[in-house]
This record gives sequence, structure tokens and C-alpha cells, in this order.
Amino acid sequence: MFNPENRQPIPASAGIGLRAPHIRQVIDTLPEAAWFEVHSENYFAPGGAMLRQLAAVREHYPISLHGVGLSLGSDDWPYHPHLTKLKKLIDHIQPGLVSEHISWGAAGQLHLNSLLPLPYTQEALNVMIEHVDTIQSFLKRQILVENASTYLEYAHSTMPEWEFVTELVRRSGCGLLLDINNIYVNSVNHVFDPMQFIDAVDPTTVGEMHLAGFSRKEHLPVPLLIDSHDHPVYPEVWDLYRKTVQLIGIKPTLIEWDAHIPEFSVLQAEADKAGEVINAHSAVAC
Amino acid sequence: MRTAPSLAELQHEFAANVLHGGHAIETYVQGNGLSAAQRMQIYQHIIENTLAEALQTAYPAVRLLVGDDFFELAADRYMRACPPASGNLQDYGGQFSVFLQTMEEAASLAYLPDIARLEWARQQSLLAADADALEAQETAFRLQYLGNHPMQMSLHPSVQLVRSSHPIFDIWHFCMHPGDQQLQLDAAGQSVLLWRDGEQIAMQLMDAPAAAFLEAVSAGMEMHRAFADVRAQGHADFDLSELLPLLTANRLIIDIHATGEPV
Repeated sequence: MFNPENRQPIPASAGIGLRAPHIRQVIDTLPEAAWFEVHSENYFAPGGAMLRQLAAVREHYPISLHGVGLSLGSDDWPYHPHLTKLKKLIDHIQPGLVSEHISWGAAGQLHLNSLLPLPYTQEALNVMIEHVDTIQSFLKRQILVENASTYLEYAHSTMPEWEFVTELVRRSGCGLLLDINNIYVNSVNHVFDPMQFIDAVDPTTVGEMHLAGFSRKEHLPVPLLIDSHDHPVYPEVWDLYRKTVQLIGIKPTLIEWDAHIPEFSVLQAEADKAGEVINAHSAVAC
Repeated sequence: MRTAPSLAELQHEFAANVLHGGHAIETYVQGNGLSAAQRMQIYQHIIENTLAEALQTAYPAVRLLVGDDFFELAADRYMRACPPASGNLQDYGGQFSVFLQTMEEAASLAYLPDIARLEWARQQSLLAADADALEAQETAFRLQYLGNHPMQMSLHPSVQLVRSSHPIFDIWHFCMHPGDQQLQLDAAGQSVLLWRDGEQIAMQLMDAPAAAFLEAVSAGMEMHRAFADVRAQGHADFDLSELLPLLTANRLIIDIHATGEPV
């Protein structure tokens, strides 16, 4: 187990989402990468090769743990067993960042294992705030919450997504994982100006950004983008990322790719592109 | 237009739509150029695909045996019959072997549920806790030193035993490592011992008395009782001369201790 004092912060540079097909290569060749992010649940098992591999990666790189199963927005799901496993993993790996999603996946004893859309209501906001507060107290650390991509809106929502997100962050004291691709996807799916979202964000609350590729649903009467993580980052999303960095500043930025995963070098090239945006902004700032 | 639902109502109606086609949720979904049902279908497909992929990962041999179309059908029905309760997909699929027994279309494949049991055991073995094994010398010392005391033996958490009346070891190898071998589906039943060996799962055929002994010992029975039971079940010549070296060589014994006074 790592000494908590050795918790390595995630640098404000471009990192890579590390998935099973690449982990052996990373351990064996120690490639150029500023940091890695993994899905927490993949390492919940109490033992075995995967956990040993993650610990081996952690010896050489800062690690961020990104959860997909805590279902922060569920009203009646008993999440403590899941949280206990997350804490055990955090104690073992000592990640630089821990994050989850602004979404729900469970109802009662069911867990649909998906990042499902919340209604933007005071009730849902209160549930999220209460859960984030409980979780941060339990973990004794701040977590980041990520804005999710959505494919529907509820008629009874009473506020725009960015108000829900920024209120959650302000009132719970958590940080924001700003997913630029998700903002773009939602701006197309729900027809709004993505800069409205970015402008609403307090830059000091942003702890990380995500970039990924989407896919388009064809043959529909309206445009619909799916946050599929199976493509390179699209030019529109790179543009939005550049504008976001200009407004918010440099933050740790992750390249995510979860389906049809390419060679590791492709992910490195995407991270290099994010690094160029970061470097360009640094040069201007200097 | 119904009044706005509570968050819990909304989430339960959403789940009912995904799993059972309930339409109540659609009242609360804005169409915005599509129907509410079309928007819900996007989520249905995402969830179906996610859960089906988790089953594909856990059950590759079952999938090869039944083909993609049948597997998709089984995955779809399983999702509705045994939806996940955990937010970790590695936990999903534990009842698949039992479910396959109830699938009429699979009735002619009598061995299929046992192949599923074998594959679930492989996944459990892969994810089991770590534990330090007793050194071979220490095992030998304890067995000798404790003499006639009643003893319990603990095996490594990754050890799994699957007993079947079908040739599951041969069928699994035929699917996953196809070669020139002939497969006889009606051959005698096989018992398989599994354990984690580095990043792989090792599988070893066990004869019936050794399997019975290990099953009893794993369930907590004292070694001398398990030994006597196996002998009484028609295996009068059963001894541990092959089994103990196998367990020690693969570092599968993590504890042997006396449970009482000598018998």
C-alpha cells in the first residue's frame, strides 16, 4: 500500500484513459504519458492480476480514479457497499483525483449500469448534494463530478443543465470535471450554445477536463449525437476545448476512448494535441 | 399531462421502461423532434448493449456454443429476468447458468448450464482475493506434527471446483482452443479444479474421489471425515498421494490447523 503522503497530484497536462488492452504495454515499456485515468469499478476485486497491474502503473505515473457505478443521483439505492469498495481502492492506490458523474443508474435494488439523465429540479439537486456531501465525508477528500451527455430532457426540469451543475458544485464543495465532449453533444442534442455552459462555470472549481469522440445517430429527423468514446476528438470539440482553456485556464485534460480502442500511439497522439492547446495557452499567459 | 413525478417515481418508471417496456415514463420526456419513445429507445439500446457485452466477456464459450443470435436472445431475456443489483459489471451474470436451465430453446443442450457454471467459476477465480500459500515444507510438517488431530484445510480464495455429469473440460477446450481433437458430447462427466496462476486461470481435471474430497474440505469438513466419507462412497483405495502434491506444487493450500483433540 502507498503512503498517503505520496499521493501524486494529477498535473495540469494531458493524460490518457488507460484500458485493459494497453495496461501490459504500459507496464512493460513505460511510455511517455503525463498521467492515467482508470475506471474505478474495474479494480474493485479484492485481489488478482488487474489490481497488481494498476499498482505497478501507479509506481510510475499519477493515477486518477473515475467511477461509473456510484449512481450519485439515485434517490433510493443503497450505495454504501459500492462506496466501501471505492474507499478500499483509494487507500490502496492513492489516486491524485477521484471522480464520478452527475447522473443516476440505480432504482431501488436495480442498477442499470448506465449514466442516465437527471431531471434538473430542486429535488434532484438536493439528492445529489446530500450524496456528494456524504461521500466526501466518508472518503475524507474532495471528489470531482462530471457533467454527463444526455439524449432526452424532462418536461418538469426547472433549470438549465449548467445551473444544476454549478449549483451542485457550489453547494456541495465538490470540484467539477468538465467534459467538453459532453457539453458539445448536449448542445447539439438539446439545441443550446455550448458557451452558455462554459460561461456559467466558476474556473476555480474545475479540477479536470475530458475529451472524447462521439458518434452520430443517422436517419432521424433531428440531429442526435451519442457519447460513444469510439472516435478521435472531433474538430468542433477541439474548438470548444480551446475556447474553454482560454476562459477557464489550464487543467488536467484526459483523452477517453472506450470502444474500438486503437493502438496506444493513437491515444498518445490525441494527448499530444491536447498538450499543444495547453502549451499554446501557457505561452500566451507568459 | 400528469403532475411532475418524484425523483424516485421517475427512476422506477425509467427502469420499468427499459426492462419491461412500461410507457409511464414517456409522459415526462420531451420529444423535441422525436417521439418520447424514440428517445427512451436510445437508452434501452445502450443498456442492452452494455449488459450483453458484460455477459459476452464472462461467457465466451457459451457464446461460441450457441452462436451470436441465440446468445443475444439469451442475454436480452436474462437482463429482464435477473437485472443487475450492483454498479459493478463484474458482478453481473452470476445466475446465467440457472437461467439457461429454464430456457426452452436451450433444452437440447443439456451441458450448456454447466459450461456457464465453469465460465462463472473462471471469472470468480480471476477476481478472488490474494492469499499467501503455505510452503510445501510447512504443509508436510503440519500434517505430520498434527498427526491424528482433526484438521481443517483452507484452500486459496481463487480455487473453484466445478463438478458435472457432462464432459465440460473437453467442451470448453474444444470451443476456446479448437484443434484436431474430437469431441464426444455424451462422454463421461468431468470435474474441474480451477485456480489463478499469474494472469491466467489454470484448470485441472479431477477424478471423482479427489473432487468429492476437495468439495467437502472446501465446505469446512475436517480432513479425516472427508477422507472417510470418500472411502465409504466406493473409493476404498482413495489416498492423498496425488492430490496433496498437486495442491502444494500450485501453492493452493493457505492453512492447515487442528480443530480439536486427537481422534
